[in-house]
Amino acid sequence: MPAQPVLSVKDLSMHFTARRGRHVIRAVDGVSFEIRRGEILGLIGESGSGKTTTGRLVVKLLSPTAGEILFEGRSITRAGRAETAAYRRRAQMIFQDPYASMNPRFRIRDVLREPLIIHRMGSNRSEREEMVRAALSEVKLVPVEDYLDRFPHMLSGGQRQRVATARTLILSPTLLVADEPVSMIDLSTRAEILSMMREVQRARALSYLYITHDISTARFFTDRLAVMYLGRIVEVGTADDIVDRPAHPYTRALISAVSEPSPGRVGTLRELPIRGEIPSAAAIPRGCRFHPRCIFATDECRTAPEPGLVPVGPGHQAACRRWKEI
Amino acid sequence: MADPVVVVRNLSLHYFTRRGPVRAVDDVSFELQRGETLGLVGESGCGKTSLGTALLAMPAPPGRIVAGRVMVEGVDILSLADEQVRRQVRWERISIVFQGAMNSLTPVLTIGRQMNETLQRHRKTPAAEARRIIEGSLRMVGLPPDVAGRYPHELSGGMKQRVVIAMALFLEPRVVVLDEPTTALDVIVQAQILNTIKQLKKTLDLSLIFITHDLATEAEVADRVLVMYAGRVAETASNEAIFGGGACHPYTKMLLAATPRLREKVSELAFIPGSPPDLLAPPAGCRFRPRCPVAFDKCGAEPPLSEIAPGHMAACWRCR
Repeated sequence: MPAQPVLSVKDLSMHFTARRGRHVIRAVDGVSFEIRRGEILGLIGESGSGKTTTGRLVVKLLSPTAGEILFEGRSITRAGRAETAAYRRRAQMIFQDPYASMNPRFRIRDVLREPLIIHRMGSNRSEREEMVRAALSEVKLVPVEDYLDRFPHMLSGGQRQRVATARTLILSPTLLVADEPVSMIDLSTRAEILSMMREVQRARALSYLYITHDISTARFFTDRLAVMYLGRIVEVGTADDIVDRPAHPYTRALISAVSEPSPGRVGTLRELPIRGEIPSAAAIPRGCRFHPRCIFATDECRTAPEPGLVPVGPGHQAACRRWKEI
Repeated sequence: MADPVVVVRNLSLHYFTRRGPVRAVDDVSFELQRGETLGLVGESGCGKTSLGTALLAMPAPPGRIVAGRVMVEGVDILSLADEQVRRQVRWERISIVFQGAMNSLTPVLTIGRQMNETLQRHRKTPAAEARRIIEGSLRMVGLPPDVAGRYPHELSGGMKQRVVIAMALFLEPRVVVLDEPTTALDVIVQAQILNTIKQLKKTLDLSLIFITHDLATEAEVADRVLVMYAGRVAETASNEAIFGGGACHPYTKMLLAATPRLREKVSELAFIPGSPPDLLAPPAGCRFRPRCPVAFDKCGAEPPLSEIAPGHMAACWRCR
């Protein structure tokens, strides 16, 4: 196993101030993780957990208020202009809504050519055309002639997401941040897009940060999972650890809430081992931030300093002081 | 024993576009029994939402119901004048929670104000009485009554979804159509809302039509499933039959296989290759034929929906 991770995120925080500083929204609040070469790390959590903000920090669409991001051992948080430009080529993002992230007046050819022009890749027109064609066939939009001159609105959601993937691959990235890449695509074709993304990932030994609220696809798609809650990672482990042996009460609740296509539950209410809804990141509870929703919380959880991640198994960590007893 | 509250017969709804009629619902028949929850499933564009709007005689323009009958509690609603439907049927006997309705709440009015507006439009109610109804219906969907004084942006997605469900229940309808009521929500909130829906069904003695693309959600709430493909019914059966290995239509089987199961470890997830046909010009013969792995020469003719077991209908030559 290579010693150096592709990406390592250390104690990252993103605090937004609103209403002239009267409100501090702690969207990301001390997050650390690593991604190795060729690894897919899933970041799962509810809306408001800070997963999207974390993704945006990683590709430097935002600058963190604290903490550091290292890419192949070098700090990108403190990188200069030239280094940042190089990083922006090597770390690419795929957005949730492929339609909103493409110029509707660009033909697919132009959608794919634009990043080449921005990053000054390809020495002339015909070389760039070749790169565009190669990228389209890599995401299986073939024959490429059928797609080059179309506009984004003429494609299905799945095809658009393939174009979005091609647009990142054309820059030969090392790291891809994919934020809910299939959540707007019909269930029947989601697996097709994910399989394509994984094929590409294996062929190029890419590293992915896969951000999603959907644990079912995350289990299938990722190597490791990090569970985020209110700006923090509360549990991290292999996808199997997280689903089969969840240690944190929040992870347990998430998993118990997932429905399975089997009959016999009609009319029966499911007891969910969690209370209420996620609080605002502008008012993070003291003590363990999960305690108001936790069915196992004690006085200690409410008053003592917040628990950090502790090992609960090989390569498996959780941020709960009571994980052994519950 | 059979006591249908909704009977749909040979219903067709077409959208009259410049390029020609889009046959979103094409000769659909089914019944909803009293106290039953029917899950309407299929991919985007299969006609399930169009069918939902037809049940309230309110197709979205340029859609028009071109054939068929819809009986709601014995009333043939398509034979009534618009005004009569509005007064006697819609929201009184049958109501609908549209997909994404929670995002169409007005941001500038409090929840109470807009709930009152809806209530007054349908039934003139004195202020004190209206407040009682509004607070009662908020409580019914598990919200504190002080939500009435808040603005939509102060509520979470789950709370807004509860508000629109409460609004659909104002006039005490017997039948409620729910179109993807949990799709945009996080999994925990989703489970909480599904619990609320089941609870409401029991306490208010409702019959439900639950529209979703997600079979896992369908299995959670429904008694019976109706699978639509390209504007038609592909298969309908009890949930026990469909999820207990009795699915017969290849489309249903492929939908089932494409539904992820968290607790089963698989190395590959199945998907359905291709996409649903263009309903401007549906393929001749069986509409699923171009995507079907088991199509044979007989599929050049369109298979009728026929009973393959008691209460189990399928439109596939392979099921006979």
